[in-house]
Parts: sequence; structure tokens; C-alpha cells
Amino acid sequence: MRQHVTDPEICIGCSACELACPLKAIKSILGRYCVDASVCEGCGKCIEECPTSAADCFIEVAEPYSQDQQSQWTSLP
Amino acid sequence: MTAQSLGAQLSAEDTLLLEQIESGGTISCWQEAGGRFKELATGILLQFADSQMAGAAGFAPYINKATTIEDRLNMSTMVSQKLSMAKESYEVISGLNFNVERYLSSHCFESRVLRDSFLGFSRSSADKRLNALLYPLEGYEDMLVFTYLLGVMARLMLGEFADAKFTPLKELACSCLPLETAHANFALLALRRKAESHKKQIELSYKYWYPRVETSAGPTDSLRNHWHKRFGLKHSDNLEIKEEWKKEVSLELKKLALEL
Repeated sequence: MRQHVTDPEICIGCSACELACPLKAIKSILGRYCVDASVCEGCGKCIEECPTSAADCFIEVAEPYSQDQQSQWTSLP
Repeated sequence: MTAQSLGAQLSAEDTLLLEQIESGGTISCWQEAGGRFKELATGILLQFADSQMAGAAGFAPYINKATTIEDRLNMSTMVSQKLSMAKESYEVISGLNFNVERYLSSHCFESRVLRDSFLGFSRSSADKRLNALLYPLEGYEDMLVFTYLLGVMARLMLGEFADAKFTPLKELACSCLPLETAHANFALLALRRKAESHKKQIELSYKYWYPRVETSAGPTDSLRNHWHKRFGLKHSDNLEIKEEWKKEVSLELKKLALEL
């Protein structure tokens, strides 16, 4: 499956994605903006608001990464 | 920026920053910035850097299309300076743990839309370049008209940022302002030389580029513009910049006896 995440290497931690998400699917954990795959419906509002395109990031996964797992990333898995 | 995100409460850092700016203070580094400020300042810096990258990519093929060796040198200098300005701007953002190499590797600055399309203010690119840099050039004179029109706009915008209350943006703008001014002047001088021999082509290019470059000033009554002003990143309204640009380019190009 395709999972929507934010790219830790180009995210500047401004919170624009979190504020833009109408479903509150994005939250900051340890300064990393992590997307809840079970809530995100892929509306793209966060991508529109992200100043660096860090929210325009999708990865192929067998099982979605949890928000806690995403918070540990320093680069994409 | 949506009404929803604008309506969200400002962080403590951003509120403090606003008070600091309103009382005449400046922001010297990212460490003093809150989320809203980072978003707005990064938006400006990345738009500038990506526009320079896209400009360099678009101008490079025209180095060999210049008819004189002097103009080939001018063109290659312009391409080189655009890349230097992009580098300088990315370096400011890299202070936010922004991996420039990673960002550059995931964007294609050569990409363009179809010549006849008109995007207005709608976004059509993953990178943050100005929409004017998304349209393809069509010939040497066309490139000169575009360079002049966008060069004047860039000069006006850099003039705004040169007064910014954010020191890294102010320093970047002050260092880039003479280069952008030189690029616009190079194009204007070349257009003056060609005004008689390539009159029709220049008129057509002007009609094509004018509305496309005009949007670079940004929409009138923009919420983003409002926040740029509050955070001391700009001081003019988008409309004022657009009007100033219209006045200057009309005045200069009318001197070339073109039917515009």
C-alpha cells in the first residue's frame, strides 16, 4: 500500500501541515510531523500548505508505519 | 495559506516575534522563529531559490543562441549568477535542517507546461518557483522580453526584502539585488538593439509574457501578503508592487516604439 508521510530531511517543522489537515491526521511528536494512516484520506490540503514540499511524500509499505515509528526517522525508511 | 490555518492560534514564539517586530526589532536567526514565521520566511526563500534554479535551466540553452560572443558571455554569466543566488538562498534554509541535496534531487527545474497554457495563480509544480518560470521560452527575443519583465519584478520584490526585519533575508536580498538589476538591464539593452529589426516578435512576446509575469506580484488582498507584512518580511501590498512594475515596464518598452 501507499502511505502518506512527511519527509524528515526537508521538513522544517513549521506545523503548516498539522494546521491544514481537516481531519487532524497529522501531529508533532518530538518535533517530527507524523501522519496517522488510519485517519488520513489523502485530501492534499497539507501538501498545498507545506512550504518545502516535505508533505508531498508517499512511500510503498506492506504495513503502515505508526506515528511513533515515524517520529524516530531522520530520513525516509 | 488557508483561512483555517490562519485562524489557528499563534505559537508563543510567533506572538513574541510579532511584538518584537511591532516595536521595531529585528529577527537575526531561525532560533528566534516560531512555526508561522518559519513557514512564511521559508516560502519566500524557497520561491526565490527555485525560481533562480528554473531560470538558470531555462536560460542555459540560450547561451549558444546569442549572436555575439559578448552576449554569450552575458548569458553564461546570468546563468551562473542565478545558480549562485539559488545556492545562497538554499543555504539560509539549510539552517532549519533542510537537506538541500535531497530537495534538489527530487525536483526537475527544467520542467515546463505547454506554451499556450495560462495558470494564473494556481499551483502546477511540486517545487516553489514563480508560475512565470513554468512557461517555456520560444526564441532568443522571447527570452529577452521575459528576462526584462521578470527581472524588473524580481528587482522590485528584492527591494522589499532588502528592508525585511529578518536579517538573513535582508542580507540575501541586498546581495542579489545588483545581480537581478543587471540581468534586467542586459535584456533591456539587447531589446533596444533589436527593437527595429525584430519589432513584431518583441510585440508578440510582450503580449504573451505580460499577463504571465504580472501574476508574480501575487494576488491582491492576499492573506499571505498580510502576514508577510505583519512579520516584517515585506512592507508593500502585492497590488502596489504590481502597479509599480506595470508603470516601469510600460514606460521603458514604449520608448522602443513598439505597438503594445
